[in-house]
Amino acid sequence: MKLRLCLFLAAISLALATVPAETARRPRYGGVLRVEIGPAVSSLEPTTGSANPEENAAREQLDSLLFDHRNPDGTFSGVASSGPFQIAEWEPGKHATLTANENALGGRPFVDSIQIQMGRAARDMLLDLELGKTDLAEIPVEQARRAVDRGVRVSMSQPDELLALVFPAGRAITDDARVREALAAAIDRASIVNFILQKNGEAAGGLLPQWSSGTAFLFSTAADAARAKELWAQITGSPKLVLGYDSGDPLEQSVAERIVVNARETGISLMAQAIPRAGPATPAAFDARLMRLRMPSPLPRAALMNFLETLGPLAKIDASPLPDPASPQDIYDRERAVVSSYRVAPLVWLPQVHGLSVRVRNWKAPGPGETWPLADVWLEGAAETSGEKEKP
Amino acid sequence: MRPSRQLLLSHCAIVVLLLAVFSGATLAQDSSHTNQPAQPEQAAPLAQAQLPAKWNDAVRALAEKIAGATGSPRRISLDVRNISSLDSSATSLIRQAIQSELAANGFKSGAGGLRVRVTLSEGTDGYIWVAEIEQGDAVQVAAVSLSRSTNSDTSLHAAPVLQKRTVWEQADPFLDFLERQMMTIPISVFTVLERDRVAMYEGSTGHWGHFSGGGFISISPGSRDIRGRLTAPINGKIKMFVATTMCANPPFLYCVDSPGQEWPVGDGWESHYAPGRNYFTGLSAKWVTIDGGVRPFFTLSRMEYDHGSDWIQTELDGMARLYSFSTKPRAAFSGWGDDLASVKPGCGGSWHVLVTGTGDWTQVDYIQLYEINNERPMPIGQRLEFSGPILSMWTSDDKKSARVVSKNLQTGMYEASIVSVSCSD
Repeated sequence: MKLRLCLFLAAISLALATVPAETARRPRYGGVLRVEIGPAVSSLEPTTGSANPEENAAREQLDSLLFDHRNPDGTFSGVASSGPFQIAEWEPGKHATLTANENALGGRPFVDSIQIQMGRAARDMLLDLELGKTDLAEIPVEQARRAVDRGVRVSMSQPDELLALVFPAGRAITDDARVREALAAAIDRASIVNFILQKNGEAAGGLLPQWSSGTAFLFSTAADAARAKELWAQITGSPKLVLGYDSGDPLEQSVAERIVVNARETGISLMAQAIPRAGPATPAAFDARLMRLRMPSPLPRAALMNFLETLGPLAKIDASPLPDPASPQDIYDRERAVVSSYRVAPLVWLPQVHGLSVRVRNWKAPGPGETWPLADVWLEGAAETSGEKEKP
Repeated sequence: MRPSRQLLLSHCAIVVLLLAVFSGATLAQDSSHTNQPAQPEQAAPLAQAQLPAKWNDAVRALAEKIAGATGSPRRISLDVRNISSLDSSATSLIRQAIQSELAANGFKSGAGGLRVRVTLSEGTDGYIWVAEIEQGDAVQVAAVSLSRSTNSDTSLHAAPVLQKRTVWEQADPFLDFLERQMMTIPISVFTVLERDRVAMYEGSTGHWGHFSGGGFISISPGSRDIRGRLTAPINGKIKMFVATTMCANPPFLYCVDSPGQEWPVGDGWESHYAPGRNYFTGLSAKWVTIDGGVRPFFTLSRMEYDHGSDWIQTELDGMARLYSFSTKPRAAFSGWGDDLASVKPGCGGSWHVLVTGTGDWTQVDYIQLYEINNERPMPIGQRLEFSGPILSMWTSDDKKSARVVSKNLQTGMYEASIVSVSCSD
């Protein structure tokens, strides 16, 4: 119990490891919060979609600051500036300044304004965090360790994004379940976690993380090279497999290259190939692809249903609704059925990583379905005047 | 200079006039899923019967599933492991309970039998107990779930010791609470003040269940760290302060909102709530003159002596300052949180100050007891740890304890606790 409590305390304190000496607990008002984001958001219209998933996610973050109503699909809408902040300046794709809404429904935010720089490269954001030029920026999970080593204060959420290997249906080679099982068994998840993610992630065996479902421990994450070789030996014709990954995602590229190495070690012929983000839709030229699936909810049923709805049409897996409410047994059984089909091979769970300046307080790493809690953030040392300044 | 007192209603607009004690059905229905009295869940030793009832139900359900999976009673080899936040004593009890339940179903335990591994796990929805039943090469999985609840958290330390008694928990945030015995009828009422409503429950400590009334409070948009306080009933009437709104009840809930709303911050002392903020400005006191204006503050704690009163207030610059009828502080203390409460335990006779810890709402918190000695704070005893931030702390009316509202970061529940100073050695 004590060990678990210690781990729990350590986990929630992770983000605050380098916070300076603390002098308060109640939020202070005032100050300008400086934020940098990678995507260049061109429009704040909630209905505006982009081919770039990062831009869509960033726009949702901004919308959550401006609108008070959240739709069932997770997007935000409502009267302009009905949320905790109002737009003061807007330069599409480059810069935005938001000011605190004095009449916000949940109360006025603690900071006076937020200055957002868009279209920033990951290395530039990391540098600005090191130099104290920004208060908040996203950090790719594979760079989290490096950021910590460079003295950046890092906030890490619970792992809530699944990186999985998905076998699209309709490909002659991978319609043979033995091929799928062989490749899934060949993957060394531990090395992905240890070397690519620098231990900032968890090996995944099921479709939900342990902290959500409570049953992830029932799924094996160990590689089984012998089983992979045995299955592959049964396949005639020595087929050559193509593994697709998002061309704009360095993490997916690294993982794909690692899987290629694992596959070759077991005799499986596999080649990694980037999938362009933009351009005309073409028939899938890959036998398997890497996919990121972010949990929309911490609740296991909702998260699993979302995943199945996404994966179902692609991999032709059972996406029929689970009972509502669903028991842990129901959820486990469905997960097991999907994993046992080898249409989806869960690889790793990824946390959301943010870099923070030392003056940021009340930052809580957003959980699944949550947005940045910038209305609750306050800044150390930027408080409103507190009256007389002299001390005894 | 004595700050001028405003007449309570002179600048007030009556913003809400709601019937207070509307029949409990509507609110009770809303509350039933989120509010519950905190009940000790810490298992007592050695017998299944001493497990909480719902744990027994879960044990029974899991044993039935194991029995169903195995088909007929036989010898089994049971292994129980815990990967949840349950402690070892609870794990041991659950193991014994499962063994007992399986025995009652005709199973005998022993080496070489059918291997059954039970894992005590947990997820978002609560505890999940999973049985893996090995039958040859196949493994059958059976799972049961049960919700988490607060464990008994009364704790004792070396003298003088802080004691915490958790009396309530609910999923929604609340600002203050009050336990009181009704004067005219033999029942107790537990009042919970939330940001926009007040709810009252009948029952007794640990068993507040029956919703008996309440009402909604309409407040102006204000702070995200809104402050609220309930005052002891005078002639059966409770006053409720939420930011710049003051409400009273019974016979019906009526509220007035005023930008300069005065709050009680000590016996006969009042201060103005800063509109749209989370702190107070100014100080007025009956019968005495406070020289000059005081700094804005979050919390003020007053200590009465024969020769007069001292007070400590936590200020916006993160310092706590000690005053004696002057706006010139006598001493300043650093490293304190923003909430404090003065208490006078019955045994010692001197005033002590309960002080919360530093940090923010994402961190665990604590209360440290201090005695102010020659203008220096002397920590006494050990800290009383909390599983999350303390959101408010007010001195109780008996001056011997404090009402504490905190958030449990493990369960996500908001908890009401009475913290008192024990005088036993």
